[in-house]
Amino acid sequence: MSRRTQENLLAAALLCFFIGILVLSLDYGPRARLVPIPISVLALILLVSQIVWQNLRPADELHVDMLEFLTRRGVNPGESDRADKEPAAEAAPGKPAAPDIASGFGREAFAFAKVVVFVGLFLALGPFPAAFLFTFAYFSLSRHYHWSRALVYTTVFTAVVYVLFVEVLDIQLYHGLLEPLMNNF
Amino acid sequence: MFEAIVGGLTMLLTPQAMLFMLIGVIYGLMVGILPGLGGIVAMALLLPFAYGYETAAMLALLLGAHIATIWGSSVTGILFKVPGAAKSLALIFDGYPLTQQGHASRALGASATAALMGGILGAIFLAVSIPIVRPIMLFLGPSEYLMMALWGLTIIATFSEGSLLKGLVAACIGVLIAFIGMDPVTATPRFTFGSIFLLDGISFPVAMIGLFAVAEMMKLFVKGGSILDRDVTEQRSTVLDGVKDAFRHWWLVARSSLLGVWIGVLPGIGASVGGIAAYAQAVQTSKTPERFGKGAIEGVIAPDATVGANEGGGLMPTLAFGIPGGESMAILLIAFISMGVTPGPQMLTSNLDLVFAMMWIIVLANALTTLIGLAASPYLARLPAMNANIMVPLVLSVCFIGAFATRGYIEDVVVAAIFGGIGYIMEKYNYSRANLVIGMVLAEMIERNLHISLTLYGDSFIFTRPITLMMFIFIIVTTALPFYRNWRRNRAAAPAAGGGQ
Repeated sequence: MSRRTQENLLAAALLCFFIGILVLSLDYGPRARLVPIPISVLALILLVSQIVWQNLRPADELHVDMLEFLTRRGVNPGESDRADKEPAAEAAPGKPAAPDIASGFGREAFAFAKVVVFVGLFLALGPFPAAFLFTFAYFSLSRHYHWSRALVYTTVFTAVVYVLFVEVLDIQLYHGLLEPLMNNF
Repeated sequence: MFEAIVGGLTMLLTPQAMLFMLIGVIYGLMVGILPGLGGIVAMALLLPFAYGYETAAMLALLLGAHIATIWGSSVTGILFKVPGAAKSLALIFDGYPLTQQGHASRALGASATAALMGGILGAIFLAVSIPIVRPIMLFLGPSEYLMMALWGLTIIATFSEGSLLKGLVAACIGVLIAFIGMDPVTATPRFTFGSIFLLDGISFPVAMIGLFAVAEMMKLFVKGGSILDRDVTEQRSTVLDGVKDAFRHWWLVARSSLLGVWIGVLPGIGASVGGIAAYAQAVQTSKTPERFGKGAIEGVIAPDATVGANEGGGLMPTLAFGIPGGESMAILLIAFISMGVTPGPQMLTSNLDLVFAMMWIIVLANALTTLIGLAASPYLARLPAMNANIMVPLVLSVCFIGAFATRGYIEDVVVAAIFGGIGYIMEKYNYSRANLVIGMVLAEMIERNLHISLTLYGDSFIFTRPITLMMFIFIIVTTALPFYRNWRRNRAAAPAAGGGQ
């Protein structure tokens, strides 16, 4: 999927978001919608301008700099931190960018999956068992530590976090969705 | 007055008060470093233990802990882009780029020194301004507060380099997210979809944990390696460089401190707005605003000085009127009442030595925090060099537990994860996360004060209130100034370039 398509998809999703906000706001009283409606209308105008603008520019100039346009300010290529975010710029010299994009998507999907797994563990088991399992699995599966060392480090880390949050800060524990099931046994 | 100043210091120079201050500062540093937990949590947890001791010792414990959390929050903001509390948000804009460039020690040194200088200036201002602040405080109304919030929005252009349109869209998203929950003016539930959890709105610290900390860990996993740029193998500067930076930019520190004091004095604004406003004035008054957001040391100094000075200012309405200058001051007010001390105008006459004792606590606790901070900075600065395989699980665990601990709602963990995903996508597609947060912070203040201004002063309140009008013109001028400067620079450069060809 090209960068332009990705940008357009995101802009379309945001467009839906702002239209949704606008429609919802219409149901509120005049004072409650006094600020949300103008803000969502403004956002819609900005977003439509962005979509039009980014589709009229060449593919390598998708980062539209309105500030540059308004002030005619130039950005030195070396100073731009955008360039290194471009998939093409990340590709090694002489190699096509496509495989990198694919592997980039894979890693991104994996990163999202990790967060989802952690939250799932948190909801099911509660904070400290989730932190213990996630950290131990991460250390072990990434092969950063041998499993025995990973176990020691994870235990120490979990104990420190437990003492800080529960003993020192007196945070009420959440026991997880599985606790009622466990109690049945 | 001199007797009261000496009396205040004498109250503090007891072994119990000194010990309590030390305990408070160490505890505050620990709490500050934990994401989502700030000075309010630190003070609220200490409150049950702070009875039955000397009054000065109890105040030293509470205020010492609160002051130390400020710098603790700055540490994680600078090192990991994880602001420990809302007030340290502005620290991540330049603090984190400095860390990536191998200048973490310098940033931490500048941060600690600026906070100390801000704290001292704030305390001095508190002492000097007690007789003159009261009439000014009563003179400013909601329309002036509204202008202050709008001034904070002018910073958006700074973080939109690359795409002003996207930057503005991000700010709009932030404003709309802030409206989730019960509208405080009309008591209308907005964008809650019938959820009781959403009636309380999206917790600001939780959103920040997601947007910055979780998103940054996802990014680190995708990128691999460590937070430090690959070509940075060792620290390129020392803590002492940061200390020197803070002294070299003394005028910026003084301006930011004064701003912090005033924001503290005005009830209901909050230090998170203060940090952003300080950053905005640092950008707008800089001769090289293009360096901001890429690792300008002034971007660390200004917010820290403001937040440091904010405490002195916040004490003013708390002591003089019994109106808390912020959430933490509300807890201090509870402590006063339980100690049998009644804040109000008589506090500035009959209990003046206690007022000055608090001024001394601010100075001494800031000094103690800075000493500990400067000593610890070289070690803390090594943390970002940790490998992603170690950093990601540890930071994610602490962040999600911190998100849960903020309000004790399990839903906040899901919210932090959702904001993590949003933050990652925004970063990837160049929609400024900083603008979203600025929109979130200022939205409520803008809406509330707009409603009150319209009700009190009518539709054309901007033109009927002279101070509001002056502030409005000031906003237009400061917003237009960078554009004008660029236009002049380019105009000057054009003939030179033409001559060269």
